[in-house]
Amino acid sequence: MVFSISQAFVRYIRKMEKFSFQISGGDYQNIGYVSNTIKKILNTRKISAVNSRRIAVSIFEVETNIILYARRGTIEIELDNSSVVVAANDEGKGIENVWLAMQEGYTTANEEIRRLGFGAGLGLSNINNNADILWISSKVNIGTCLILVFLI
Amino acid sequence: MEQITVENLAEKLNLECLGGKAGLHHTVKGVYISDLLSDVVGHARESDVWVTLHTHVNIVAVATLKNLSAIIITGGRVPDKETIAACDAQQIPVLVTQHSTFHLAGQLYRLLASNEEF
Repeated sequence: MVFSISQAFVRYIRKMEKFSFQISGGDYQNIGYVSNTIKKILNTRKISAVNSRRIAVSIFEVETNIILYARRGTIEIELDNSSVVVAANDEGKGIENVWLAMQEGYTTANEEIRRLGFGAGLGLSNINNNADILWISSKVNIGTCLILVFLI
Repeated sequence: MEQITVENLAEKLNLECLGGKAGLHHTVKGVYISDLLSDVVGHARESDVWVTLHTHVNIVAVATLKNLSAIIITGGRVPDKETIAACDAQQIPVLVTQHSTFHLAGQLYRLLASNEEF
């Protein structure tokens, strides 16, 4: 059952337009590059301002998390007329307790991250508030995988 | 009430524009004050002026993402040169004031609170 659903999903996303980004951990200067690039692309498509905003906000948080907390990662964005799928994979310290990490205000950020104005514990809840479907899988000291689906 | 631009604000509140001057004509529809970037990303509205004490380049990414009209840095802090360059590239004015955030917030409120869109 799970297999057939995932096969159908794979067949479905194969028809979508794809964009792929490599992210380096610690590359603070480039926070916002992926989200602003995708926002520009979405603005050239028939996507409402509300949808393009919530997609861009979510991708901003996804790329920020990789840069702040992981060694490296990839973000793949797939879109068609009815949906946008964002898949992020990173190699890094992972999330020990996903439920806790989802709580607004919970953070494991260090002093350096906080000094930049990040690490307030709002990132994952921002994603959760904006995405229609959010799937998180993580293993400590291995990495984290996020899949976000936006129905547009 | 007539629309207020970033340039009007800069003149009335004696703010110095250090970058992104090509965006001085942006209309100001409101103000958002926060130093938590994810809070701004989550809650600021389009065409808001953003008041912050951060000076690093990430503030420009946030302002671009949210289509903010300008960034005002308080307390006599000076934006990094990367920040000024990014503001020039994105045409987002970055303004500075010697006043504290509290003082500037009061000035902005007096100036904008009678505006219907505010």
